[in-house]
Amino acid sequence: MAGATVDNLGQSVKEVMARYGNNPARMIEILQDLQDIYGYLSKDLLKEVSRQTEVPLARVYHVATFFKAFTLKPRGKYTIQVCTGTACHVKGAYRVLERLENVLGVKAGETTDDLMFTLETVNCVGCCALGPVVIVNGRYHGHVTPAQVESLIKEYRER
Amino acid sequence: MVKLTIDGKEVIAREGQTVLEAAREAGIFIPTLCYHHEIKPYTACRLCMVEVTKGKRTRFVTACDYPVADGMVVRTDTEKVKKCRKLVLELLMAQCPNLPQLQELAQVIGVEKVRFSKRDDDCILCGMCVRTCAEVVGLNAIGFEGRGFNRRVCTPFDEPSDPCILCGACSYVCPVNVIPVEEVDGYRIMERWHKKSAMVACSKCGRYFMTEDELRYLKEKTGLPEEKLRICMDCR
Amino acid sequence: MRRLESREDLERLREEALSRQPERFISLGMGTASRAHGAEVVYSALKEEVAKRGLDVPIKATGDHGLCGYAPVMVVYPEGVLYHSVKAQDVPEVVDAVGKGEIVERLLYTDPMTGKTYTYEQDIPFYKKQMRLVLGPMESVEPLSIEDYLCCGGFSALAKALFDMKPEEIIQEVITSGLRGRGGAGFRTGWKWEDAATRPDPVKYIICNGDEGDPGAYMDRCLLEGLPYEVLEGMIIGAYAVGAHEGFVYVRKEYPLATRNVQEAINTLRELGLLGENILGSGFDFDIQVVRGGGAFVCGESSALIASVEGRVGEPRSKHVHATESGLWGKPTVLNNVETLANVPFIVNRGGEWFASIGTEESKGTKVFSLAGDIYNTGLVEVPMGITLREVVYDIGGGIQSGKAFKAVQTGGPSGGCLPASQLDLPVDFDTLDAAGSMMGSGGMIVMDEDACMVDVARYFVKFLTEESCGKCVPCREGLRHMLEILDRITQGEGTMEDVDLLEELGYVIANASLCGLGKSAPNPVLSTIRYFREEYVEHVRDKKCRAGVCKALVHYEIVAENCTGCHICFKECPVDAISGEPKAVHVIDQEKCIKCGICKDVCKFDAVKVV
Repeated sequence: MAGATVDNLGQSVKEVMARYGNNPARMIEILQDLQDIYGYLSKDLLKEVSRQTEVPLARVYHVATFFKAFTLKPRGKYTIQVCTGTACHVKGAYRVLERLENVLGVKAGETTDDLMFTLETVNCVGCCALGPVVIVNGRYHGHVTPAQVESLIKEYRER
Repeated sequence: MVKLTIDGKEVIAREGQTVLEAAREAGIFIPTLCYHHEIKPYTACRLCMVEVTKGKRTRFVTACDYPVADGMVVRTDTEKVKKCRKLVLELLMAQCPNLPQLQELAQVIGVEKVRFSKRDDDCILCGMCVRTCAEVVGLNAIGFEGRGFNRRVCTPFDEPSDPCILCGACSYVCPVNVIPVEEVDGYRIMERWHKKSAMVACSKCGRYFMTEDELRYLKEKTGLPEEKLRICMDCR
Repeated sequence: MRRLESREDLERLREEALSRQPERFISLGMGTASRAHGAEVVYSALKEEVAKRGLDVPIKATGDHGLCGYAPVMVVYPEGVLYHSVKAQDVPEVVDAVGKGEIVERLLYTDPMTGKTYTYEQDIPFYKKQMRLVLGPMESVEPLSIEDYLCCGGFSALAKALFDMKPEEIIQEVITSGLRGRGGAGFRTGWKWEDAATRPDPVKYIICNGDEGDPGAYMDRCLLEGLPYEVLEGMIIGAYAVGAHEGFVYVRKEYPLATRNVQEAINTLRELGLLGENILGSGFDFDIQVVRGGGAFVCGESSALIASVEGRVGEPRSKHVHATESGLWGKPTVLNNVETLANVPFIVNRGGEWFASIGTEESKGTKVFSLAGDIYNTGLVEVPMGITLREVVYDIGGGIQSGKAFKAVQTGGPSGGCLPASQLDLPVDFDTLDAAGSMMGSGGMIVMDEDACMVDVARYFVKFLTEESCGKCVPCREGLRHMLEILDRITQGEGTMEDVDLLEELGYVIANASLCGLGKSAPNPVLSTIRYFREEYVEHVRDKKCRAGVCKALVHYEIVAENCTGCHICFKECPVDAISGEPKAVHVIDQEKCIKCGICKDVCKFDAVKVV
């Protein structure tokens, strides 16, 4: 995110904390909102959160590394989520995921070097009849087959 | 006063005691790895699990945090207890195959071979160090990272931890002795936490006896003047 | 909106709402599943078209209708004409028909088994065997419309509870009803409430567990999105019954629409005085906060959920001290699942005995299932306990879509098991499913045909659990990772019979020695598949064969010469150039180069690629 300096960090953390009544028990939501602003949770950001919430850094760090919602590394322009819910799995989602890993050159959970794509798995988005489902930045693609993967990536790359 | 039986033996315990405490006082062996009487029970290693019968119900519970009750029947020698204890230790030995303490325990409870693929960790993730730093020292300088089999104990970002005073309490409680503390040339070094701190020399005898960080911590906690704190225990 | 100061105020508002309710309206499912199918553009088109024609037919954007697989689904009331898979370009024709009282035949639902077409929702076999109790109001209630909810009798149960009943009486009704937790554990709700109510602590909490982590289960999401007032009403009644003044709705992070709708519903209730101080002038104070989860399946477990509400990681605690004794911040805490709470208003209004008249001896009432997998009618169904699995799969689900043989039905998600055809006549009942080696679970029900490999399914669930394990206790953290390794070996053709024995041994210890429910139930998928599908394990191990054609290492792709037309498409699509052949001639796959990605099979229009 542009303009994310340490000074801004302090201000952002203060504002976000105020949303939750400055209550350190709302740590998970505070970190989520901050990640929405900055795209990821940097070291400086977590240190600032620890400072202002008065929660020891070791604890903040564990929360930031425990939950799937958080990433400590910058994310790609597009987040590609492959639904690996049971119904999608049975319809072959694992083959779609494999193809994506091959085409992008990263494993699920990683971001491509050019910071274009982050590949993730999600557990059931509840449109099982459309499986295998792939969501790119909130846009749903249903009945995805391994054959469609390359053109799908191409489409986003060329936008 | 509470009367219970453990493996058929009648045991007298105090109200509020745990089955583990009662067993230990009665000289009955129950293995533990993540338990220490000075910190809250954590129930993570699962080695202390025993079968407890209260009334009509029999449960399989961790002895380290289960409260004693009058008329309770505890068994540490059933098939279930033995099977679970052995497999849990076997799993730990697959995780950390080179720890002498685990191998000793294996001899005692009868684990002969490890049938699982081995990693080469040295930390059994009992959390004793983390919890001691949190509950006893009150500094939370170290903690866990991640979850599942990616869980590990470390300092945040694997960097030297600001609050760490290198007191060595974590090293003291570690059941497998994998947190070495070294003192070299006036510095105390804890390699595992990537930190070193200059040590304080006793103003009377000149021996190094604590770190500057510990001094600062004690000054804050006790409010005592620095000159008093710069004297080692022997010289006081 | 004016604050309601009394029960009379509430009834007056209800009367006003009833007088304003349109007789004729179009209900369009607009929950997350429907939106994924493109319902939003249909909604805009409908609104535009109706306005253009000056028709007095309001469009209600409701939660997902049951037939999620056929979304966008719309129903014209009061008749109940159901149209499915509606597209924006269909809208002018549909609205025209509505205006004239006519039907658009081509958009009607056709039963896949019989080929018969149905005009009305109530006649469709999918709905006939259901008993839509908590889902009942879904189609006529816009999620945030308090008027719509009042028209369905909303908050009459709350008023009855606050003014006509004492807390002990409410608890007695819930005990009589036999309501058991719908989140999976099936603990008797009445007993949980009774325990909490007896605690003398003036500070108590009630938490609605909307974490719904089972992959393939979205019942709670649907309820929170589509009928937030129903869930909240149940929660307020529960709070009154146990003496809690503060509540939390914990919604998993992956449900943004549900989170938004619950928050807005709470805001409206506060404005109306149905939340906050002196609710309806009864003297009872209660307020609710929405808390978002961070993305962890383990947070569905009550002590882990409580830990995460306290801002800590989702690590469970020893369970012999129940949450009702010491839970959130050490206070008596009642934790109930979304669907459990949604049942409460019905129990209060119609009585515990009425509720207990539905279902079986030990499992009362109804259960919502998200039916998915290889069946025609995927979606949300609500059935009375005691209905057989066969009825759900065939009469409601419509049978196997692929036309292939039924293989298994999976219930209970990663904590449950796979049941084969021989178990299809089992009734849906907590204890019966437990005894069979599966579990009711939160309601995910996945149907699998012969193309599913049961060893692979077991591996899938174990893999999921290894990623979700909090890592605190040894049996779950280490045991599951080794179970996965063994299953990896078996699916790669490197397993031995000792491996199968070792899986059973690991399963026994993990089930008994784990700290929490995640670990304790983790071996279920493996143990149930070994129990019912042992031959498949044996085939993988002894014969190095995967009869379903799933396990890559044990199968290979072949082109069937008789069917191959030489269209050359597979040649072009193969990412590793493993296919050779001239156009118009039979093509061949080079087994050395083939990476078994399955693309050739997907693109072949002549069914000429076989998995052997």
